Amino acid sequence: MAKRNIIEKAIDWSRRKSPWIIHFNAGACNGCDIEVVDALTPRYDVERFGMLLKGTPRHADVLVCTGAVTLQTRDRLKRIYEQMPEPKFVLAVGTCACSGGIFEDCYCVSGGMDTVVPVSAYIPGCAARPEAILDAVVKLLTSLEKSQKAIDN
Amino acid sequence: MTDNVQGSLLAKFPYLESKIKEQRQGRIFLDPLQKEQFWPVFDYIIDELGYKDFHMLVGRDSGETMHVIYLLTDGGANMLCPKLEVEKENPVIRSIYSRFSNCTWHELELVDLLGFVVEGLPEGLPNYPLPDGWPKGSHPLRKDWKVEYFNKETLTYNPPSDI
Ligand code: SF4
Repeated sequence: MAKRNIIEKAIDWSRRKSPWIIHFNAGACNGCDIEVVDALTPRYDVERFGMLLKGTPRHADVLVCTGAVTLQTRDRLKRIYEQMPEPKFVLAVGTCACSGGIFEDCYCVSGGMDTVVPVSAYIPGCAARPEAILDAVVKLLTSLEKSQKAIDN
Repeated sequence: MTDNVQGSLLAKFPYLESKIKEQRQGRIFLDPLQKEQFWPVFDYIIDELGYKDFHMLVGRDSGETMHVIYLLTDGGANMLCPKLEVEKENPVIRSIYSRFSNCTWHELELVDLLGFVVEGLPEGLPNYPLPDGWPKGSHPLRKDWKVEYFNKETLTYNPPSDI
């Protein structure tokens, strides 16, 4: 891959330092959503890593997704994913999002997040703890940094 | 207080003899009743016995027949649950919308999940809670519905023809 020029480097740097996220509930029981909110609010405060919750997928780099994908949300999830600008990342928060969890094989559930969109990081746990969410975010950003460095060297 | 309830129910409707069960203090259940017997009891419970709060209703496929269980409370800790029984081939029930307008989404669930026909629901309500494009006439909470015959990709239900 070609080396990045200074502008691309600046864009990548800023993306790494301030990824914007969108939170989508694809059929969670709300347990994981509460943990996502906990991670966002001052007690755990992902904003200190520059993350910012956005209301629209068009502004977001990371899709934070909870719950097993139901048949009703399947197309909506796809549409939200398609609206996000490249490059985009998906965090599957909670066991349901990773594999379908206890809802797997239910008649109205399509399965885990990866049955519909490609997933960058899986965060297991029922519900996933806020520390685990933060850990996944930091790991995602670190691996991004590594791959960008690898391109340059 | 709940003894009075049982007493007045029995005095008014002798056919409830041995059909009233008090599982524990303040939880009274009636055995399933056919609609001719059910609706007078239902009205009496609300108008005369003061169980004026509609808590929720539950549909049930018992195998041979279909049941609707109405959970009514008196505004306190006491609950009275009359049950309506209908034939499986013709599961038509009357909506309680005129009394309790919050019944709509419970009754829509009966329609979608168990295939009840609810008469008297307002026009123009969406289907709920099954996804858009769900195959008509396929009701996943019925005992004879099997998830193996349901195709999630095409949203079609194809049971083998000998069933
Ligand atoms: S993983 Fe647990 S808490 Fe999270 S959506 Fe599933 S059931 Fe709810």
